[in-house]
Amino acid sequence: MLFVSFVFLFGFLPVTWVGFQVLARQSRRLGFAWLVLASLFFYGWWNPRFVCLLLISVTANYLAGQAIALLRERPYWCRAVLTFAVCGNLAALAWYKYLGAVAGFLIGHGIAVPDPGPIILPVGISFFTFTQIAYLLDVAWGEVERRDPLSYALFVTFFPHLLAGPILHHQEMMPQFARPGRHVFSGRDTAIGASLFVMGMAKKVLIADMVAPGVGWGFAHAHEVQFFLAWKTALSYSIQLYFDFSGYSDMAIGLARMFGIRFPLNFNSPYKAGSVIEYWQRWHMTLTRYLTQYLFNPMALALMHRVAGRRRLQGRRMTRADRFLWMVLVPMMATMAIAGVWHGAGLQFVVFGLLHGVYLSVNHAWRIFWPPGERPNVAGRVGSVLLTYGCVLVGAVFFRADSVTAAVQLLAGMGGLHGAEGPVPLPGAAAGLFGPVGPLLSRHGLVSFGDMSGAAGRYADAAALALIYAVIWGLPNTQQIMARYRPALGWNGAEPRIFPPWRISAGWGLAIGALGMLALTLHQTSEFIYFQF
Amino acid sequence: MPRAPWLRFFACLLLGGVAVWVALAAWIMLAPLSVLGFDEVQVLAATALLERCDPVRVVVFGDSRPIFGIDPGSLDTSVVILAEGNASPVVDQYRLQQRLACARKPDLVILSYILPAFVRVNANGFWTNGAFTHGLGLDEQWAVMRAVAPGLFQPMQTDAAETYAELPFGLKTVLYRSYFPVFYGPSVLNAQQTGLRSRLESNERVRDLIMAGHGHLEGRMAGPGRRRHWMSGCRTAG
Repeated sequence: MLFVSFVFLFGFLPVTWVGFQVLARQSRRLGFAWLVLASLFFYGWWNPRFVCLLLISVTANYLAGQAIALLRERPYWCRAVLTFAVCGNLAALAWYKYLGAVAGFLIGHGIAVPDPGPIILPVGISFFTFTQIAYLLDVAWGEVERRDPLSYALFVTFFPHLLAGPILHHQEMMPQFARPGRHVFSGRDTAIGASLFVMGMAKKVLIADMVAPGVGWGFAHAHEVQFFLAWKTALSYSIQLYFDFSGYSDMAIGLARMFGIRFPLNFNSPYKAGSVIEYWQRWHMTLTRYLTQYLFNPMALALMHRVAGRRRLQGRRMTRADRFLWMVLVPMMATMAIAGVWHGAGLQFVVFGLLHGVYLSVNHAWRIFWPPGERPNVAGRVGSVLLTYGCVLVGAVFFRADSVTAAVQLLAGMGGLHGAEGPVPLPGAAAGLFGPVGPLLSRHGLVSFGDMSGAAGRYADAAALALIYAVIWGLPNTQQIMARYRPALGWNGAEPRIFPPWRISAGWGLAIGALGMLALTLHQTSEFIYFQF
Repeated sequence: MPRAPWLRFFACLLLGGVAVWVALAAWIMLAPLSVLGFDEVQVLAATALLERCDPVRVVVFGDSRPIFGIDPGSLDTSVVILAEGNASPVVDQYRLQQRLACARKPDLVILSYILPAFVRVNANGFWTNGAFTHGLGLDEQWAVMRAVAPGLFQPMQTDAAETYAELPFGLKTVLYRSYFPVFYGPSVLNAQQTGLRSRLESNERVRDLIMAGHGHLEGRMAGPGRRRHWMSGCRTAG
C-alpha cells in the first residue's frame, strides 16, 4: 500500500488512527497491539504471501535475541547463536534480493548454473533485515534493556517505516513504546504529523513525479542522448531522487507523529552539503548511522588492532599513512561497496558504492593531511557545495542506470561525446558580452547569436530546473520550518530567519489544506524509489 | 472558530482543501480545453455533437474503433459518430435515449463495442457463453447481453434518466465536470507538464477536427500524443 494511494489515505490511515486512539485510551499496549495488526495488514496488502515471511522473520529474530541474552555468560554459544541468526537473515536477503540477479549474470556469461526462475523481492526486506541484525548485535553487546515481544514486533513492523525506513534503532524506539498507562490523544501531535505528511506528499507528487517521465526516457535512451538532454536527464534524476526520498522521509516521520511516536531524522537537505562527508551526514542519515556503527567502526577497529599488533611485533611504529590506510581507506571502501550492493543487485550499484568510497576517502585524506584553516568565505562555500553536488550527480547516474554501460553512455553524452542538439540560441545583443570568445564559440557551433529558433523550449526547461534548484538551495527544509516542535529525533536546528516558521495556526492550516488538496488532485499513484531496496 | 488551536488548525485545513478543490473545479469548468486529456476532448466533442441534434440518417455509438474506422465524409449519406474511447453500453443506453429525443430521428443506429466487454470470463481466463453481437439491432443486442450475462447489464432506470434529463444543461455540465475533480488530476498534471497553452491549442485542434469530421478522427493526425515532454523530449501519452 503506497502512502499516496487513495486506499491508504481514505481507508487504511483513518481506520488505523481512529482504532488506535480508541483502544489506546483503554491501554497503551492494546493500542500498540492494534498497530501491529494494522501494520501486518498494510504489508499484506501488497502480497499477503509475504506476511508469513515477515512474521517468521520477526519471531525468529525475537527468539534468537532472547537466546543470545540468556547465553551471554557463555560466550561460545552466544557467538554461535548470533552467527547463526545473522547468517539466517543475510541468507534470506541473499535469496530474495541477489540470487536471481547473480544466477542471471552467470548464465549470461555462459556459466552453467541452475536457473532459480523469477523470484519476487519482498518489499522492505532490506530494511527489516538490517533493523533486526542491529538488534541482535546490540543484544549480544549487552545494550538492549527491554525485550518484550509486543514492543519488539511494533519496533520492526510499524507501518510508517516498514517499507523504506528510516532504519530505526531499538534504543530510540523501545523507551517510547514502554511508557506505561493510557495514551492521551494529542491534537498537537496530530497537527504536526499531518502537516509533515502533507508537505512530504507535496514534494513527492508535485516535484518528484513531475520530472519522472523525462528521467525514464533519458535513461532508456542513454546511448543516444546528446549533450543538453543528457545533462537534463541527470539533473532531473537527481531532483527526482531528492524530492522522492525527502518526501517519503517527511511522510514517514509525520505518520509516526500522528500516533504519538517520534522517528529519527533521515534527510536534512543533503544537496546543501559542502563535502561528501557532510553529504552522507545529511542523506539517508539512519543508513549512514547504521553503516558507521555496525560496519565501518568494527571493521576499522579490528583492522587497526591487527595491523598495530603486527607492527609492534616487527618493532615498527604506525605512520599517519598507515593509520589512514587501515582506519579509513580499506574499511571505507568495503563499507561503501556493501552499501552499494544493499541498494540493489547489479554492478552499477557496486560502482556507485565504490565511487562514494573514493569520494569519502579523498575527503578524509584532505582533512587529515591538509586540514582546512579558517572557515571558507561565501564563494568558497558555494564552490564546495557545487563540487560536492557534481560528485553526487555522477554517482546518481550509476545509481539510476540499468547497467554500468548505460551509466557510462549517459556520462559520455554529458561530456558531449554524442554531440550536441545544436548551438545554444542567444540574442544578437549578447554577442558583445562574450568579447573575442563569441565568434570562436559561434564558429564551432556552440552558440548562435541572433537565431532564436527553438529557444523557447530550451529556456523553459532551464527555467524550470532553475526554479527547482532555487527551492533546494534557497528554502529551509521541513525540519527547519517546524523546528520549534522538534518533529524528529536528533534535530536541534534553529528556525529559519526569512521563511515563516510553522505554527498550529489558522494560516498554516489553510496553507497545509490547500497544499494537500493540490497534491491529492494532481496525484498519480507511483512508487517511491526507495521501495525497491 | 473553535477555541483549541489544533481544532482551529484542522478547521482551516479543511477550508484550504475545499478552496483549492473549488478553484480547480472552476478552472476545469471554465477552461476545460486548457487542461483535459486527449480522450476527454473526444468525449466533449461527442457530447457537443449529440447536443447539436443534427438531422442525420445514421448514428454510430460504441468504442474508439468507429471514431477512427468510419469516415462520414466518404459515405454517401449523412452520418454522425457519437462513439467514445472505452465506451460503456450502459452510458450509451442513456446517450441513445438523448439522441432519439431529437426532432428528427435517425434511420439507423450502429452500436460497436469490444466483444469481451459483453462476456464473462471464467476462472481459467476463457470466455464463457460468448456471442457475437455485431450486426444485431438494439433489442437483439440487449437480448444477447441478457443471455450471456444475466443481470450484469441493465438499462438505466427510466425515472433516474428522466430526472437527469430534466436538469438544465448548464447544471448537468457542472455536475459532470466538477463532481470529483480528482478524476481530472492526471490531466491537470499532464497539462502542467506539457504547458497549458500548447495543451489548449492542441485540444482545440482535436475538438475542431472531430466536430468537422462529424465525429471521425484521422488516425495519423498530430494529436497531443505527438507533443514532446518538457523534460525528456519524448512523446507524451496525451
